[in-house]
Amino acid sequence: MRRWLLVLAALVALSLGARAGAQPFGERGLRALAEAIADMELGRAQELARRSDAETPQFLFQRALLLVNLGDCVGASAVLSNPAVTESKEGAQLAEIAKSCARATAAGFVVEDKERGIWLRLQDDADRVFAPFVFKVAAQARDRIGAELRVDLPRPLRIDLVRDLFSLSAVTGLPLEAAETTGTLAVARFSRVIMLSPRATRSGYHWEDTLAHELTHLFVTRATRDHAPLWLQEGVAKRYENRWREARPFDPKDWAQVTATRALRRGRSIGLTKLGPSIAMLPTPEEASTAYAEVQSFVDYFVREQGEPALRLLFTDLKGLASEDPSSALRSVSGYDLDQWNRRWQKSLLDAPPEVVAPPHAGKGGDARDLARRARLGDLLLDAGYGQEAATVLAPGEAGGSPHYRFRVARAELARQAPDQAALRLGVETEIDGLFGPWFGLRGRLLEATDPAGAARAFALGLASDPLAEEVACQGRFMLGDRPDDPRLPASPDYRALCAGARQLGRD
Amino acid sequence: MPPIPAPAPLEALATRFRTRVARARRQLGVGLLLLGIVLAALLARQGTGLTRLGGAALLLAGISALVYVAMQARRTLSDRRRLIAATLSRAEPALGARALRALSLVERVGSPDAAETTESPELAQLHFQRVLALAPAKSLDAWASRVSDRLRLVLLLVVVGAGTALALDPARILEGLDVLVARAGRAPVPMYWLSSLRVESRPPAYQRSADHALFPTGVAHEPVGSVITVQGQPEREGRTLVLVGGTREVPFVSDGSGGVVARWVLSQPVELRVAARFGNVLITEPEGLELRPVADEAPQVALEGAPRQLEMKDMQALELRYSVHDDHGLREVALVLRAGGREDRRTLERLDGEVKQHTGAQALAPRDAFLRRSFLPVEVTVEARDNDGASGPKWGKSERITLLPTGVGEGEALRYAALESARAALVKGYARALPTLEPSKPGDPPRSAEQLRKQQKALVEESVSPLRQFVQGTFAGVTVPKTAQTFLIGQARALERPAPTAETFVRRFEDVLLAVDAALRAIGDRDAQTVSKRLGDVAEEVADGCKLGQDPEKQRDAKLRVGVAMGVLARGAAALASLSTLGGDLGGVAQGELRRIERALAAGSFLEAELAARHLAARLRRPKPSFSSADSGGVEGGGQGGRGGAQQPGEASQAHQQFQELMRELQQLAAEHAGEISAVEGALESAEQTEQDPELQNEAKERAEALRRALEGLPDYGPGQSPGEQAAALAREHGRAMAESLSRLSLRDAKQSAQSAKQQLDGARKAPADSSVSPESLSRAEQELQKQLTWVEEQLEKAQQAADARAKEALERSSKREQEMAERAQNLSGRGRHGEAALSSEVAEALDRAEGLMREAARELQNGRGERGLQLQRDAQRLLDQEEDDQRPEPQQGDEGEQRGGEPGAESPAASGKAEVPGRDKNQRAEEFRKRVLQGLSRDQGGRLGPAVKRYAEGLLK
Repeated sequence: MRRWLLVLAALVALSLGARAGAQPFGERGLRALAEAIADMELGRAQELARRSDAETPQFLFQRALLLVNLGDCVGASAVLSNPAVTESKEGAQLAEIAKSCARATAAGFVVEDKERGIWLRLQDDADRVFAPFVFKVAAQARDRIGAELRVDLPRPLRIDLVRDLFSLSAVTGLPLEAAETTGTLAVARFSRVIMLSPRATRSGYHWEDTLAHELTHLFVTRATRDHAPLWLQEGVAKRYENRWREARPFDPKDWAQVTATRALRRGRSIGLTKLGPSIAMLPTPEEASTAYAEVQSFVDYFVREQGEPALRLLFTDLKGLASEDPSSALRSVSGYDLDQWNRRWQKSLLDAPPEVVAPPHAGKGGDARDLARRARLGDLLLDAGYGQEAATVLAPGEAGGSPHYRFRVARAELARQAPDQAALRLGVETEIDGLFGPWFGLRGRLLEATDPAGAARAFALGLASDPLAEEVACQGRFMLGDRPDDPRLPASPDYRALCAGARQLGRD
Repeated sequence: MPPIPAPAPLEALATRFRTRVARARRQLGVGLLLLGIVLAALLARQGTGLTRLGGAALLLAGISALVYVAMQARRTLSDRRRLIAATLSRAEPALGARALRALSLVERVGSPDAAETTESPELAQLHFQRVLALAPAKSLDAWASRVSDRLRLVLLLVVVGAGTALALDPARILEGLDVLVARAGRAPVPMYWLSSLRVESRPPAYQRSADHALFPTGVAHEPVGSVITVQGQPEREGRTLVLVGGTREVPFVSDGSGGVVARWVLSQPVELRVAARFGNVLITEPEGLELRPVADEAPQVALEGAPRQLEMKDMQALELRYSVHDDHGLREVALVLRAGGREDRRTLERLDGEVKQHTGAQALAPRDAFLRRSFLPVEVTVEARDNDGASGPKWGKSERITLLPTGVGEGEALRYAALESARAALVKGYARALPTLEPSKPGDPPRSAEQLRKQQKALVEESVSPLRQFVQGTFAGVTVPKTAQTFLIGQARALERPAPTAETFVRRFEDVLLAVDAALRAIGDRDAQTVSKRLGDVAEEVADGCKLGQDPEKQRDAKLRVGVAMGVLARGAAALASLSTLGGDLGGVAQGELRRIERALAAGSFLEAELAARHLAARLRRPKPSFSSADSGGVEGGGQGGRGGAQQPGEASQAHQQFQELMRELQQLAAEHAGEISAVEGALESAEQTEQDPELQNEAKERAEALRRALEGLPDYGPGQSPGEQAAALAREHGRAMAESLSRLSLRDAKQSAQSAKQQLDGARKAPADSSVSPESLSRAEQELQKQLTWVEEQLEKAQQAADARAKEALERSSKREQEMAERAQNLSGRGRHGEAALSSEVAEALDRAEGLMREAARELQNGRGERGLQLQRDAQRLLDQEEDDQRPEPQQGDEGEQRGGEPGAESPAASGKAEVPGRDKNQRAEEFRKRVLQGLSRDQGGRLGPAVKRYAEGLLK
């Protein structure tokens, strides 16, 4: 009798266990799944979702959200084709995003660096030449920023490299008009970074810092369970976007402070709480720029006043925040709420010494129209293989601090086999007024023989600015007519592939 | 041991049993078998499975009874013990028992164990015979008679029963038995069911053939849809008769005259048989009528020259001559164009359904809207529909002519490449011109100015020649827009102007090179947008093909469709990529997305391929740069915010933008000037509309009356008049018209009528002398006419002066505006001559002439001479309008919304008179209509607004 009772008890236990396994999705289960997704614990979320065959709209929504986070928009789109899910506003919005995302990412070209734990999906497989550089920078930025914030990101880190703004909008759900207005380059959403390919812009962009900026968003999202307000997200991202690497020329040192102060004094301040749903959706690029400056300045001020640990404590507090008001987390961490912090920060800005106008750049630039004429004529002559003539046309132009013109003159000098003259006309970093990839490409080439370290640094700066410029990718070499001016290719296989890709791109 | 022969008494018993009992039993058995057959047939005739089973059981029972009786008799006769038990024991039970005991003794003695006994077999046999011999023959006979009588009585009952059933309807038994042995629902033995069988066929009405009789048996060929009527008298009542053909059957119904009839609509080959239905079983007649339907053939369409392929870029017009034939009648002839999943069906002829033969022709112009929008090969067929009302109309189609469209963007890419070559020639020339700036080296021979000029001229000719060729060129059907032609020719002429110094020459070369470069980029960017949008349609076609491929049954078609569209897309993307910066960007996107689609297809995922193709289609339809904001990024980190973003150089040449600006300004000037003309016309018109002077009106009436009187001597117009009389009569008509206008004070009309009348009077005077009109009458009329005409002209002059005085203020305002516009024209001309954006000399000269006229018009208006000023304004406007027309770009291939649905064959040089090509006459009619409207609108508006009305009408008709 006793034996039978034991068997019966075992059967009951098994049955209950099986039921519990199949139906974990009560309110608690659903919340656990949602939190796992918000925490970017996609493995755990997959495990939780796998255990259930529930078909409630809420569960289907979370499952679709999980798939979108995993980058499987085609699958998510299929789940969201269930009208029960799209009855809700969130469901309908997610369905729209999943649909457009599926179109933009279906059959994407996936490259994975398993060792570094980075998964990169390329919309245009021609961007594969760019992948090794993305892996390197992403890993470095992730490790450095993670260490500073004391947050880790689950592996693999997912990155989508899309071909154009149209696709960026499709994958992220950011309205295309807004993206075009403000010039959005990347978005961190759905547990991954969605970034524009450098080939989308005419002369590249600072993709490394952009990637670091978006990675910081992921860190903040994970650290706060996506409860961080926009000003905090963007402020921290701006603060950390270039702290993962060594300082570079033209890094904006006091830009945030100066811009925020100027905006406040001129009554053009945007305000921390008036950023809307995204800075990318502000009406003009100028307003977006001011908003970035303000949030960065505010976060810098907060850290300056309270220290880095306070920031981390704020993240922790926000993670457990039940209410929608992050001000209470700020008060609990620092003793002041957001309004009080805002007033303190603004006071500090107004108390700061007046803006010092930067001294005019060394070297006087010539007539802009004349320079443009000469630059174009030089380009046309050089493209047709007339190096000597190009040099003749470009020589009289007064480049001033313009790296564009200096680069063209130096290139023409190189084309007529006058490297010394080229080095002279190219100048040095202190003579130019901005980061221009091809300038650094030529600079690296001219330093190769005498200063390999300097050359490597120049190439790296070029790569950070415009990786697909021929002079950057080919380390200072360029096509003169239908032949390269210097037949040597870069020693590194990655650079060689990048060089071939850049030459195929054929920018005008 | 040998068998012992039966003793005689036993034989007697056997004989009695065989002849009396066994026979009676056998007869009964036969009777039962008969009864079984009858009952089985009746039961099985119900035709269901169960009843047929029951019938079979009954039949089996009858047979079994007969067999049993026979077997039983044989066994009884072959066994002494059975025989004694069946006979003696029944008649004399005691004696029977003794006989059986005696038989036992015989058997025991005869057995192998008998050796051990001492009994004699002979004695035992004797004992047995003696016992049998004791049996009384009388008793045995009585018993035998009793048994046979009883059996015969039963037999009688059975026979009567079976006989009754048979006698009532013997055919039922045969039917039942037939049904009983049926297999697969068909009885094996056919039977006749109908007598006087008649079969008729009624062909479908649309064939308009008469009804006709058919042989009830044999083979007949009848049109599909014929109604076959089978009629006859039933052989037997109460049967369910049907007409069976294949698996179908039609019941016979009463024809109202004692017969039955069934109708069968012929749709497929069939053997018709009359049959009777018994439950699930049919018993058919032995012979049937085999009907072979004759199908209505689809129309046969012959298209001249098909099948063949044509390149659309080489096609001026495609003339389609066709002939159509059908066996019964034609309803419609259509021209069908198919490209990918698109189809355009255009009815060429609607026929009455009785015509069996039709020929015609149709022209297809390359400007046809369908062809212009097609990027896939277009299959052209002529198809004809018959009048088949039975199985539904059928389309017959001709062999196809495949039109291979110009690749999407092919023309634009060729045009761009040609302009690039022209620019390359300029670059080369510029590179060669540069050394002329260098100071001559010591020792070099000095070059004279003449030498330098010659050298420059040769260089310019060489450099400009490709540009001139480009302007005149056609590239896979794509020409150079007029605006671009004007611009580029202007640049070429600017370069051809002699340069006083080498510096000027090089500087001018630079200007021209940069201007052409800017134009190249502008043309490339605009073409890239156009081509991109058209490629979007191709991508959509790929997506549709991929969607089709998601149905496993349609994958073959889908692969074909996708394959063709992908080819077009790939070539189009390559062409797009070759077009300027925007084209390179968009083409790069398209090529990347193409690879994505190919990856999906290679992985067998039509779904993913469709998604990627839809994305590409949407992207291409939005032909903007991939990153259309700030040059290298704005927000979301990494942007230039606060960073040392280097400033890109500006535009090197504003020539093309300047040219476009010039064109816009010119159009605006023309529009404003037209408005000014309207203002002057309005001012003059309102100045004329003054209050009528009653005295003047009375005087005019009197003068009108005087004129009428003076004309009375002239004849009325009538038939048979001599030329002189006719002229005089017409003069009278015009004179009356003048009088009427005078009485209404319509002085302009009166003047016009007076002039016409004067001409006719001159004619009458010069006519041969066969006229009945007296010279006096002519002179009187002439004098009066001249008198009144003079008065009218005086009044008109006064009115004009008064009107000018009234309009003076308005005219002065107009004069100032006219002056301003003249200055604008001068400015435009100057900028067009001396700026980077050179206008062609014709345009510049026309502008100069317009400017001169406008200045003169301004002076006239200023002086209050409104009419003269207006005339000058109109002349200037014509020049401005002409320039505007010249600059208006030609419709481009692929531009939506224009050249829509050009009439087939219209304006087609190749549409010769060989065929009656519809469309041409329509255009002629349209042209005639246009002329009529123009004439109508402008003829009777003699006032100042006449030209305005004409311009308005022309504008409407444009």
